[in-house]
Amino acid sequence: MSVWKRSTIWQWISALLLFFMLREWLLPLQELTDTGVLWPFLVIVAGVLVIDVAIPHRWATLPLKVLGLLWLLHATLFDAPLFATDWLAELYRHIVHDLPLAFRQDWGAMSILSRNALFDTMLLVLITMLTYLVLEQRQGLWFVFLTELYLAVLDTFLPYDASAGIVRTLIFGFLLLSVSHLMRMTSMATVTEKRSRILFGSLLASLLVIMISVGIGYAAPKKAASWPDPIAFLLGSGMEGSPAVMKKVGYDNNDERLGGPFQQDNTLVFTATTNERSYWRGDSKDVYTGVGWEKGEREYEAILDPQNYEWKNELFRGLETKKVEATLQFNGPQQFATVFYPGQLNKMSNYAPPNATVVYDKQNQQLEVRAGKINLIRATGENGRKEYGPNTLLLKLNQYKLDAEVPIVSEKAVIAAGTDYPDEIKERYLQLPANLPPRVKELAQSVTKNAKTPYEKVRAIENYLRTSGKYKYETKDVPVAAEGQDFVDHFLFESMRGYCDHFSTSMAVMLRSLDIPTRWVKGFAPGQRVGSDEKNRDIMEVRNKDAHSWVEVYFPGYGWIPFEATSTFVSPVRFNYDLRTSQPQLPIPVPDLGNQTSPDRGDGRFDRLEEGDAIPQKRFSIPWQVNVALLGVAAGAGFLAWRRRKEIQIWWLRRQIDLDKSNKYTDRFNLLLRVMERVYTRRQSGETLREYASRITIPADKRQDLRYLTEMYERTVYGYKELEQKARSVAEQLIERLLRQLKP
Amino acid sequence: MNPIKLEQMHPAIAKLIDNIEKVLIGKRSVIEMMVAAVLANGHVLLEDVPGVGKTMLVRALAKSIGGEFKRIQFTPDLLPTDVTGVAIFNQQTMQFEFRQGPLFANVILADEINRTSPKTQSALLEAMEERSVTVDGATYRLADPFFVMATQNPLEYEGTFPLPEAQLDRFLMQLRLGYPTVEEEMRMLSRFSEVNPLAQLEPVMTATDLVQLQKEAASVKVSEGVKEYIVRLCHRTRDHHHIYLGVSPRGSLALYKAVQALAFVRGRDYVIPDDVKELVPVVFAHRMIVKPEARLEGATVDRVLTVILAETRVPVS
Repeated sequence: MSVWKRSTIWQWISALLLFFMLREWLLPLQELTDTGVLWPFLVIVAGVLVIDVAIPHRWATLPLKVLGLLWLLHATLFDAPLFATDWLAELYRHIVHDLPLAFRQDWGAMSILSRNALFDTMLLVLITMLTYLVLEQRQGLWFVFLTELYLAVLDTFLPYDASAGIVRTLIFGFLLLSVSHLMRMTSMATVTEKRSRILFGSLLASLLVIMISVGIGYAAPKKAASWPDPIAFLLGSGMEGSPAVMKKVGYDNNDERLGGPFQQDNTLVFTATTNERSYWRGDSKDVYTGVGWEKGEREYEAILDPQNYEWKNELFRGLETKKVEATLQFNGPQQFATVFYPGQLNKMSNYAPPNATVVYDKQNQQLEVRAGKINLIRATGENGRKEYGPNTLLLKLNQYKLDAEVPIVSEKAVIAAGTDYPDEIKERYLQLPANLPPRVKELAQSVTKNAKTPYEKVRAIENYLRTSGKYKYETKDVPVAAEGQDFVDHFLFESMRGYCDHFSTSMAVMLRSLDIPTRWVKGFAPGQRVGSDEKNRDIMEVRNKDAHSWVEVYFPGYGWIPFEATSTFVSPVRFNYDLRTSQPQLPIPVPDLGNQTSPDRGDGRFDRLEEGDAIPQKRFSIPWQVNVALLGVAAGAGFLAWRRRKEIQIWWLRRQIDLDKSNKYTDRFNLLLRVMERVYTRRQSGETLREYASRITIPADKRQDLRYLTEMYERTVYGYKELEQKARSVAEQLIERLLRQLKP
Repeated sequence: MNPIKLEQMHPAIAKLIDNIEKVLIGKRSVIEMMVAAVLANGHVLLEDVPGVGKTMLVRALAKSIGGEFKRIQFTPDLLPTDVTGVAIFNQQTMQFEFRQGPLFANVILADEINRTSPKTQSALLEAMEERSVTVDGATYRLADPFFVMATQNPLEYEGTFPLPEAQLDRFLMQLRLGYPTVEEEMRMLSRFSEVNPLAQLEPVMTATDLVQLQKEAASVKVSEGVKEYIVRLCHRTRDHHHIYLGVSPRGSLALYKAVQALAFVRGRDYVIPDDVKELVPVVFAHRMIVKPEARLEGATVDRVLTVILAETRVPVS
């Protein structure tokens, strides 16, 4: 029986493919809505398809479908016996009651029963229409396109990962299209063309095309999405929650969980006018939890009149300083209650709105602006320290003027600072989680084995993180540490790629493991210079992408000195490298910040720098060159084997013929035939041996030999005759001769 | 397919074919098939235009086997009794005497069989099947061997009575002679210019010899594979979606007998699939009807059979 005639087989195959496509429509329901179970809907889809394909009379399908629907409703929502009428009556009552509600779109007021019944009915009608259009009218393209669109939209705008579904739909959809095309071809082809071989051939061809295109699409390198999370992009706000969710770069008070990919954001935060480019310090944190930073015990001071309050040596002392005057203007969509200042703050003035008060965190040197009077909420603690709770409204300032000073750090001075840390500092800033893997400390020790003083150790670790080339700056493809894994350990030994939080946290933790008091600081990088004012002060634009974190290291007698751990950033802190020169009077080198304020420089979404940073991700893996070479050799061997497949097959068959001489003549003839088929062309299944011997193009003498052998074969097979000894030996010789002469 | 050499054939058959070829040039394949039909005890329907040598062929056959030859020209007014014979009242003996019709011969040419009325047609066809005629309640056996070659003119349809399919089924084969090639026709001209070679034809066997050969042909071996091949081909014609009427079991039996006979003609005592493939068009074609809608798509019986032959697996082991 010909496959051409059994078009129903193709109908069933199409129906199956359609079912898989419709399943992709239903799958997201479970994840995105509160739909509990999917099977009733899948049963509806399958039922409609089966009924439409199996029942040839269309008038009979509708009652069947309605019966099936009733059965399904009963099975899912009723406990009453199926062959009773009361549940039907109840269904009727519900629907009559709820139908007007449905027209008013008052879905909430409807009962589950009628909602289900109506949804099921709608599904039934839709799928019936779809089946008619796709299977009978064979207009499947729009449906495949719609399915892809639907999945793409879901994948893009909702937290649903449809990437597998999109690939599946592509495969099923193209298969569906090719099957329906074949069905159309079947009905149009003339008799002589209707060979099942052609049909299967064309089906195979389309299968191959689909497999190749899907394979290429899967394996080919893809450009990273420019909108990794378009929702966040469109809404313009960072999303909190699990670290795997794409965050948006920016200043954020919550650092309890670090890591995860970041997204570029160019939103302007503030414009500053300043005579010194430096970090804009916001806050620092002291407790490392293994996954992020928190603040330990705090001491607050309420500053009710910040305008006239003078801060003094809050961060450092005993160092040469440079006076800085800066005015910050917040015009962007975001404003902060935290004040960002360069170096260490002396005075804050000219702020607006003017009714601000400040809660000053003396431990972390953070200024938090509040509206109105600050209430003392409780005064507890062993030392009778006063604690102020943040119970008043946070106030976001539009602008303020700052008088501050930045240090000019003398290496000579800090290298001699020694390790005589105050107890309070030791207690607070050497904290590490108990389960920090020991290899972090071992790494820190091995990196600093040549360093004697704390300053040298700090520089060694800073250099290790910044310039060893082992750690790659990366914001998008940032792996997240497993549950329970230490953030620093994961970065240092496993992922080896990350952004400023990874680098600065690692540096702080490594230094702490060497008993050097360190803390983690956050704020903004200096930003981009856009011009200068009349006093030749720089006008800097600081954007969300400039949000940054670094470390401060404590030196006895001098206080907190900032260091930069992130490889793509240049520290704006002025250092006087007076160690290596005998003339400390030389002009103090200013960090070259001229290039730093290039547009790409920020919280380091600095892609151009990374190009040179291509470093292997695993230290002990096979070099990629070897991999490529091996792959090349394998591919070459495969290609050669494919090119020479005939020779290989023939060699194998000849070997088989040689191996058993005692074989029956028929077997030997069949082997010869298989060799002939490899060398020349295959015998069609509807072709007799004589026809084959006449068709193939071989020299006349060989054809004669083949004819003789064929006749001998016919005699044994059709005539049930044994070959006489003589004929047998002649045939044997002929087979030998033919085999010797056959060359592919 | 190269024609098989006479030396490879059965000696008696070789002589017969050689004899017939003296009059009919270049029609080896048709002659072989016709001889095979005679050996299979079947009848042949020739559908061809006038003048290609139909009569010559049959007369040569009749003369070669030393049998009696009769020719019936079918016309619309021909009566069944004109074919079978009639009982005449003999006034001397005062009894009805049966006068044999032209059917009582060994080889009969029924010319333009579709010109006569169905009544007469069925009288002929019944006699072919039964190998006897019944007139006025008395049954008369026909001669043995008994071979009918009927012709149909495919060109004219006016005033004809096309044979119903059920009756076409009675013919073992439907053959076509076709025109000779230029070379063959020139050879024919030179041969027929001097004398009529038919008149010089001598019998090469007797009717008894032929009956003996028929028995031998029926004992040709058919392997299980080839049997299955025959049956599969038959079934394939029945379920092919372009075919309205497929080949009946009588058809597969006919093919079976025909391939045995052809293998015998070719000097073999076993059948090979090539015999089957060669005979399928001539044995099956007149037993099948193509659906009208398929005919609109260009399907013909020959085309469908070509496809079926190409698709059906040949038994090779």
